[in-house]
Amino acid sequence: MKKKYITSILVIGMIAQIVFLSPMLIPPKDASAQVIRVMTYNIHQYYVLDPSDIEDKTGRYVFDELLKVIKESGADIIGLQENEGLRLSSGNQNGVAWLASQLGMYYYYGPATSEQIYGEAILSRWPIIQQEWKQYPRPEGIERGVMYVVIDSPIGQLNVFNTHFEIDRFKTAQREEANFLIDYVGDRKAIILGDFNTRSDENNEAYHLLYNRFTYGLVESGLHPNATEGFTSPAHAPTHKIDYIWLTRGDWNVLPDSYAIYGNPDASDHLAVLIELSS
Amino acid sequence: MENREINFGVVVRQTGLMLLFVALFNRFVSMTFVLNFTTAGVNSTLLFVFLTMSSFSIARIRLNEGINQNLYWLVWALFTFLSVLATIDNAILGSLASGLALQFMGILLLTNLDLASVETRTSLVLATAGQYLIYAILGGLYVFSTELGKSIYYLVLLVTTLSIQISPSTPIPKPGSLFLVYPYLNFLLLFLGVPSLVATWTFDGVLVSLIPLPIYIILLSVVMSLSALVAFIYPDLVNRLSFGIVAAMYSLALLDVLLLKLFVPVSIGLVIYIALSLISATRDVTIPMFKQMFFVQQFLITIFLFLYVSAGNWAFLPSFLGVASHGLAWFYLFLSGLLVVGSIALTRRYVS
Repeated sequence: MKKKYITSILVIGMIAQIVFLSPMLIPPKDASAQVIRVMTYNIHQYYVLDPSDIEDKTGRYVFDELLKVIKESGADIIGLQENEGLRLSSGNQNGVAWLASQLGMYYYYGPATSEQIYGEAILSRWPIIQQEWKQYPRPEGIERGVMYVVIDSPIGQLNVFNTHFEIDRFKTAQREEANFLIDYVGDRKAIILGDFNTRSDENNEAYHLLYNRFTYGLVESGLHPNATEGFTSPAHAPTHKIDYIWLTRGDWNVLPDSYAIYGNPDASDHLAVLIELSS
Repeated sequence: MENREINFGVVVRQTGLMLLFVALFNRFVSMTFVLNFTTAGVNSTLLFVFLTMSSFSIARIRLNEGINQNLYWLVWALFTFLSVLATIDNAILGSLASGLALQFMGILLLTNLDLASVETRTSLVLATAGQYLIYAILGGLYVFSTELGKSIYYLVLLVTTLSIQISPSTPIPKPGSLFLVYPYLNFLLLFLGVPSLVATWTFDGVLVSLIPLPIYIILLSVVMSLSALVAFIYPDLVNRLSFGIVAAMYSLALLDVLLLKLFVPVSIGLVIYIALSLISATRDVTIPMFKQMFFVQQFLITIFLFLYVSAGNWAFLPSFLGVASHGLAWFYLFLSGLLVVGSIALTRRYVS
């Protein structure tokens, strides 16, 4: 009798799990559009940028703040970086799935936690019909990679790449990553999102490789490559930009003045970059 | 299973203690990481990691005499106080308070667990399933990330405390039970604790390439709970095979999840079922030199945990730690899992 009683508790618990997890399966509301808003956002593993003094560190997680930033932006497609929350040291949490369920979006998690990457993921208002992730060659620095998805959008199938380059101390790695990315994109008509850790105002080889191969979303929207409006880092007092949206040359119509910055230091140490595109 | 009536008050208390342990441990590790997550490298707060070893505080307990009721209540009050402090948004306070609470938690677990009783065996299964349920309710987040999560934590703390009033019992240490349950709870957090964690660990498995990821996560969650349920209903199935064969099956299943990734959902189910069943089946235990053995066990857990966490952050660590951990996260998880069956094997040598 008591065995049946406890078994019932466990079965009810199991049903409850399915009920609570099912929001991940709810298809997003239809949001057909002729203009799409794409964004790139480094989210610093879901916790607020802490001061360097350890006695002032809060360790406060900022899921609600991130959700607010993304909602305010109205972005249709978001490339996330530093989204790996499933490490024990990050609190064992699936922030990508949570954000997707809260926004009513589809998602591709990207590299598995076991890859030991800081995380790259895609959120999309429309179904993701193809997805893959590749690790960059690593002559120095830590493991890095690039993800590729095909999104079934109202303006057709979109090839979207999302990446996070090595820090600028490792120039050789950055150059190899840029060359790998250019080869990977190939002839595809594509949108390339990411934190490239390369500054336009410095003589950075990786930046120039990308600039010569793709068009820069900021420039296409009518701004100068070194425009201060594009600064994204650090979020509390931006002095440079390392987060970019690149586009394959001649393939896209960027809406004038659509380049916009979202976010604040209470959400991440980076600001988000958004542009509007039409077919 | 015994014929006597099950004491649900005790089940609630023990289940609550296990859930609180896992939550506090998670808090402790993440806050200690936050304190040390800088490009400048690690700092002295990394030494907090040894607070996970509650054998320091347990060494003060006289195992054969039971625990004085006043001491028991004092430990409980301190645990509750530190437990609440640990939820405050300050990384040093969060890390230190949760680490110290784990010290007192060790004593509370020691005095509340008894694998010879149906209550502890039931609690172990309920805590395993409950852990998944909480993560499901929170949509994949952990309890200290949102106000809802913190509310759930406080609710479990309150219910656990009330259950002591409802069904008081004499706190008599059961070292053997603690010796088996402690590594399992650590393992529950490290590897089995979160459905989505296991899912991402196994993203490159065969099945996940065939079905949508959200469905895969739900499938894994159900498989894990179902395994706990089967372990509860049929705990003696493992006794039909020799311990060596069962341990080999467990190790292979673990390796499959961490490295081979061929039959992941089946392997995860096997790992949970075998671990829970073996612990339940190893009931009457008296371990000589418990304090020393428990110290070694906790030391190993701490080292494996440290190297596992280091594997993901090797770039920020001194080079020798980077070499010892880089790319080896799976290996330290595997060792943590082996420690569960290793502890069971050791304990079985002393079964009377």
